[in-house]
This record gives sequence, structure tokens and C-alpha cells, in this order.
Amino acid sequence: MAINPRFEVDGCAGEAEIIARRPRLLLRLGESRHAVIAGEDGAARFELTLDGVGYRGWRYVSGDAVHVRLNGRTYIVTFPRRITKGEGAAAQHEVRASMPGVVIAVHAGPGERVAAGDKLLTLESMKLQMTVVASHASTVREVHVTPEAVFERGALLVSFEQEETAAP
Amino acid sequence: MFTRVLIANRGEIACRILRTLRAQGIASVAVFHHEDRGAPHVTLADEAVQLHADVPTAAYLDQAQIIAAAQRTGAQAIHPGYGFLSENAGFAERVTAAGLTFIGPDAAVIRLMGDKIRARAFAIEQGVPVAPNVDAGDPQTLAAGALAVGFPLLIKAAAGGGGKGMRIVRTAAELPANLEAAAAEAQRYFGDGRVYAERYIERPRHIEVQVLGDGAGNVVHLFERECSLQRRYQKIVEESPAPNLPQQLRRDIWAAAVALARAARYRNAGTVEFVLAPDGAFYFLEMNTRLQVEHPVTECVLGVDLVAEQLRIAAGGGLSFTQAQLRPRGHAIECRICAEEPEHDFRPATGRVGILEVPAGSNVRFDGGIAAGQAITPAFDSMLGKLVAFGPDRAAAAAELTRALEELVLLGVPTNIDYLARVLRHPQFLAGELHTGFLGEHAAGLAAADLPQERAAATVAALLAQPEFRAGAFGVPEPHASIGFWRN
Repeated sequence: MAINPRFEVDGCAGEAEIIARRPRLLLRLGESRHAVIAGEDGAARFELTLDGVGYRGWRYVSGDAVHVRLNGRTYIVTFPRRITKGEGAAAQHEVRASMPGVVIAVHAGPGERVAAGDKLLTLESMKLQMTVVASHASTVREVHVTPEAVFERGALLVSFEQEETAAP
Repeated sequence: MFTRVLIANRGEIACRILRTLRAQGIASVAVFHHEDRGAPHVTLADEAVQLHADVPTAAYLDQAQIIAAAQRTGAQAIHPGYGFLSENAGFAERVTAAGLTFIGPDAAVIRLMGDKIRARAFAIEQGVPVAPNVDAGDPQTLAAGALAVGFPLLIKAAAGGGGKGMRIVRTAAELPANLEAAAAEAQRYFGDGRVYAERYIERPRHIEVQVLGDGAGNVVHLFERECSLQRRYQKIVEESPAPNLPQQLRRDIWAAAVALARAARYRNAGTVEFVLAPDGAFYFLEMNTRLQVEHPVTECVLGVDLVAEQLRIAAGGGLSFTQAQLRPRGHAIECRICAEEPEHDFRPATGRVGILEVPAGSNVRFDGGIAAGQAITPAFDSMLGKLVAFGPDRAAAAAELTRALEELVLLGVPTNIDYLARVLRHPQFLAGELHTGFLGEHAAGLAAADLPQERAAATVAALLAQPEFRAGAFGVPEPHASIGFWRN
């Protein structure tokens, strides 16, 4: 099971740890410690007491994320997967979609040498157009989409040759 | 009056039109693309016809299929809502040619107002002020004319709208590249690469006037709306009446709108948009020949149903009130709930509506077209719905809307709900000191406050939604904790 799961919320990342269960639950979240009493808990609604202060809200689990509505504010807490060995390196050699959308134009093709900042693709998501540029000098191995193609978040868009010279 | 009406739209506006049809005892026909099959506008309609297209938006733009659906179901009229085919003159003509009623103006008027250059010329003829400008032409003439108008300049698409293809140019050196880019964008979005340039007004306000015309030259105005709060040239907060506007200026703006609509022998609900300069000068921007997204604020302060008026006018019943009978009362503010991330430059977001709890209250109105379980995909616009609040005065309406935003629970897709609440609490907003650059100018003050303790509580709530973490924390797995799973 997850020992000390990592979390991210509002750009703050940390690790959660159960320090004590009794006499009451004591958690470490990043650098801070909190005494927790879980109250009435349902699938959508929750109640808890944190360091003596009561909170009630709503929550919804969506994949790796939990959306929490608390005091008129929504927090999206994500539990990122730990990156396994090799995964970080792979990111250097490919471009994935950060959000779903549709391909407007493809500016590079297989075998093409690109410099950092060169245009690779023009994408559109819900009326918003953006250009994807190469983050580093490399050679395009394959463009995995064509104009008007629809893609989901995380979809592989462009892959590069694995070169010794490919600097981050 | 019609007995059956087809709604050629989707989402919140289709649901909004449905409500009035139901209230009037008129049968409703919805159209939908497969991706929308479980959407509220489909389930709420008396009848729904599926449209076939590979791309979801193409279904709602398929004129032949929509007209055939109307004929097959026996609908006498088609309400286009906003967006999609609402300002398509060719569609209006085809609907009429098919022996059906298009709930909107004549094709000729749609065409006139849809061509921004012709519309400007028409406004000038009616004595309605327009900003100094230079018309579209060949690139050299346009560039020379633009230099004569002076900087800063705003370049716009002749066939445009919604900020597409619009660019602000501050120096002559930036002009050629921007003209070229604007023309390319205009060509891509509207299939018409003509652009024009006009003087850019610094710190402008966007004021618009709702009008209703019967097509015989009778026109009433339904007062103004302030729509200055925009991001990416799209409105996100609208209100009526406009705050801090001298009464005489208000009257002048209403009169200009009525003059324009009357001269066009306008039929249907329409909106005349103006840009208001800090010195009180106002200029015609464009006329939208359809129901507007922000029409609810007008309905709230006047107690009218604009969709009902559209239906009545289209059926030949004329206007149901005179100008003197229209008396606005109180203040209404609307905000657009969008699937987007304000903290990341408002980039659109997707997800699934997991939980939707709409605040109650007699002074609160939620116009939505979403339901729990619905997927929010990049196929359609990012607007999920509109939250509107009414109050005896502006401060009361703002307070009511802030409360309603705080109570609104929409989880499963990132939204701008919390951002909108911060806008409504901002001192400059409450002071009514608005202009179209407001959100950019106050970006720092509109950022979320850092609340470490509350964030910790949210994190704990999220952790406790993970069955394995619960099991670790409490020793025994709880049956109702099976709502998530831990991937590590």
C-alpha cells in the first residue's frame, strides 16, 4: 500500500505520513503536523476536525485527483504517480498533450531537424489556440497526429530521435 | 402562436429556451450530436432528433439536417439560440424557404449587421457615432490609412466577433506583421480574410443596449448592460444597469441603439454594443442579431421573458409593451461559469461533472445545461452555465451573487467559480470602477489568498477519500471508503 503518499495542491507539493493513530490521528503533511478527527463521512460530503477547527465540505474523486469544496473554495488535490526509472528520460524525447483538443496545423515532419523554439504544432482547445515549440534541439522521429485530429490529455503528439546530443 | 418549436442549439441556452416553451405550452424539439446524448437539453425536451456528424460542433451547424428535423417533427419555427447558426443569414433564408419561421431578424438584416464594415457605414448614416477607423482594402491602403488614424490601433476581422482575429497595435513598426496575422486568423475562423482597423480606446467600457423590434419599425430598448469584465475578449461578468453612468449619457446610448434598430426595421431581440471612452464619448461597436448570453440580467431588472417576446414577435404578435411600460427595478449581475483555470491564464479545462449542487434563493437564478455525470470535452465552448443574482441595489446583488458562488458546488472539472467570487469581492469592482482591462490590471489582487490551514484540511479530506490511506489511518477498511483507489 501507499506508504507516505505524495500530494500536490495549489502548487504546493509534499508528502503525507501517518505519525500516530492513537490516542488520535496525527498526520504530517509536508513540514507541518496536524491532529485530525474524522467526522461524518460520505461519498460526497465530509466532516473533519483539523487542529481543533471543524470543516465540512464536498469532495469528488476523479482519477488521480480529489476535488474538495471547502468554505466556498475548491481545492484540487492530486496524488501524482511516482515517476519510475526511465520515465523522466522519456519525457525528453516526446511531446504530450497537456489538455485535450484538436490539431490545427503540423509544422514539422519526420526526420526534420528542429532547434529549441521551433514550431512543431498548432493546437486548439475550446476556442484557445496555442503553438507547441521544441524545448530543445533534436530530430523529429514521428508526428503522431494529423490536422483536424482530436486528442485527449496525455496523448503522444510528437516523438524525437534519441540522440546523444539531445540536451535538456 | 406556434405549437411546436425546434431549438437549433445545445447547452444552457437550449435549456433556457425550453423553459419558456414549456411555460407557454409549446412542444419542444431538441437536436443533438451523439456526444450530447445524455445532456439536459436532450432529456428535458419533448422530443429529440439526433444529428449525424463526425465533429460534434458540425452537427449543430448542419442546416439541412436541422431543417429536415423540423419538418419531420412538425415544428413550425426554429429558435437558433446564440452562436452556431443564430447569425447565419443563409440559414435564416433556408428556414424561411422551407416554409418555417426563423426566430430572428430577416436574412438581409443579419447580413447587414454581420458585416462589420457595412454595419459601421449604416451606423454612420443613422448618426450613430463610430470610432475613427479605416476600412478593409488592399494591405497597402489599409496600412496607410491605419497610420492616419493613429496609434494605438485595434485590428478587427470584417466578418468577426468574439475577439477572434482582434489585435491591438501600439507602434507603426508592429503594424505589418499584425495586419498579416489578423487577416490569416480571420480567414481561418470566418472564411473571410478582410480586416479593418479603428482607433483603440484606452480603458474602455463595454456598454450594450437590449432592443426588441417588431419588424415594422416599432422598437423599444430594454435599457443597458455593462459587460466590461472580459478575459480573452470574452465577457465573464455582466450587469444591469451599468454602474456610475450619468443619466443623460445613458439616455443618449439608449437613443442611439433605438435609432439604429428602427432604421434597420429590426425584428426580434437584438443587442447594440458600444464602447464607452473614459471621457464619456461612446462609439458603435456592433449589433448582435440574436439573444445574448447575458440576457438574464435584463430579464431580472425588468421582469420580462425575452424568449417569450422573441416567440411572440416571430409569430406576428408584435411587441407586448411600450417603452413607457418598461420600468427597471433593482440591480442584477450575472457571471459565466466556465471550465477553465484562471490561475493558468484561463486555459480551458476538461473533466466530468461529478457533483453539482446549485444554490437556492428567490434572488438567484442558475441557467445551466449540465448535469452530474456529464463529460466536459474540448468539443464545445467552455461555458457551463450562468449564475445570476438580483438585489434592490448593486451592493446587494453583488453580495447575493458572491454568496451564491460560494455555495455553488461543481466538482470534477476545474472552473472559474472561486475566481469570479474574488472579482465580485474586489473593492474596485464594488466601487463600479470598470473597464475592459480590469481583470488584467487587478490580476495580483484577484489571485487566491494563501490559506495553509484550510489547504491542509482539504488535503486531509482528499487523503481520507483514498481507501488505503483510510485503512492505514483507522486500522480497519470502511465499506463506504470504496470511492477511490490508490495507484502506487
